[in-house]
Amino acid sequence: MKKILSYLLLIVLLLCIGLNIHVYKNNNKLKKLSLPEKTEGLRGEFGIDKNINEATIDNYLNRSDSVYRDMRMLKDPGNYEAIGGDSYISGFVKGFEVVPLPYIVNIDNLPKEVGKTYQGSTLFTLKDGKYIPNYEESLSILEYLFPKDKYIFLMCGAGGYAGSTKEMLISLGWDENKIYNVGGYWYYNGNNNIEVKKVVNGKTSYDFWKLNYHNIDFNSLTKVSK
Amino acid sequence: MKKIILILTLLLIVILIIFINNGNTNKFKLESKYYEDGTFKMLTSDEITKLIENKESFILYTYNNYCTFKISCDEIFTNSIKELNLTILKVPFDDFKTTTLYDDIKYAPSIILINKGKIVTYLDPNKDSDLLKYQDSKEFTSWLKEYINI
Repeated sequence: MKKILSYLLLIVLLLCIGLNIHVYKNNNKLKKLSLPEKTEGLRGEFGIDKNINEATIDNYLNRSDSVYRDMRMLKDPGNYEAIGGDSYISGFVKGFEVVPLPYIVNIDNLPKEVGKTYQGSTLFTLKDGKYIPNYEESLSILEYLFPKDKYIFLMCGAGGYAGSTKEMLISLGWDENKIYNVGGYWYYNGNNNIEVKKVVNGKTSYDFWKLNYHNIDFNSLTKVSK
Repeated sequence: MKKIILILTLLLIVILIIFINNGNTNKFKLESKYYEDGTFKMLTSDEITKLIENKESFILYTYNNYCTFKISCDEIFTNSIKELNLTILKVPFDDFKTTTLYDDIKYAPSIILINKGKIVTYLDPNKDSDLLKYQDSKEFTSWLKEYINI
């Protein structure tokens, strides 16, 4: 009798271990992503995704097969205050790392009132629809920041910089089926919001130390000889 | 025969009256102060909230500050309100998010038509059916005329 009980106990124990392994494996299996699909309407002009966007990005964070990039500058030289805005990054979605688009390529289509954004060195120059590298290292930096073997989730303030980034990467040979324009932080209302802007006793400050920021030191790069 | 024609004519008139009346049920009048100068007027979220509490009828424009579209919807809206002499109230999206209107409208830019403190309709930047209203003054004007007594 004792033997039978021991066997039964052993079987139950083995079943429990097996079940645990099965659950663990399932939890770690990454959900298959739907192909990028442009949303309808005006926001579709930026190429914001219909399925993976500000409203749903929380379900796609922390994936080991993906990178997350916020394309804004910490402080944009454009005068956004002139149109009631803020030139500083006031917050971001947890897991997104900052790679300022104005350092990657020249930007020149901001509203009149805002004026010009950063006008310094860039990795590429967009001219007549072509992205021309300005440095020997431009492409390898881009490949490091936006690994081709990963899914790439892009965000910015309202979706414009993210859309421009996606266009550029596709034009330079990245797989368009692996890049998602998630849209703008200003429309994000999920559970992974990290506040950067702080107002204490009427004084505003920014906790930039919370951000993972990718700086590019142009002085250390080799200019492409013309 | 004459009787039948008379009855049919009467029926047609009744149908037409019903149709015309139904077409007008969505129309509403703004407060008279919004029929004057054909400009945008900047408001804070608190001021917007007061207007809603006071059950005012007005047009609200909420916009984002950070990206520009190929065709500027600001210019499209400006052309229309100048033509119609309507004042549109304007609030940045960041401020807009603190109003109760954000419960229904999650994206900018949007034009929201409010009758007696309640949303009648709005332009949705996620809908193809609204795209032309953002990009063509005539389309935007006829949309406004569909809902507002001008």
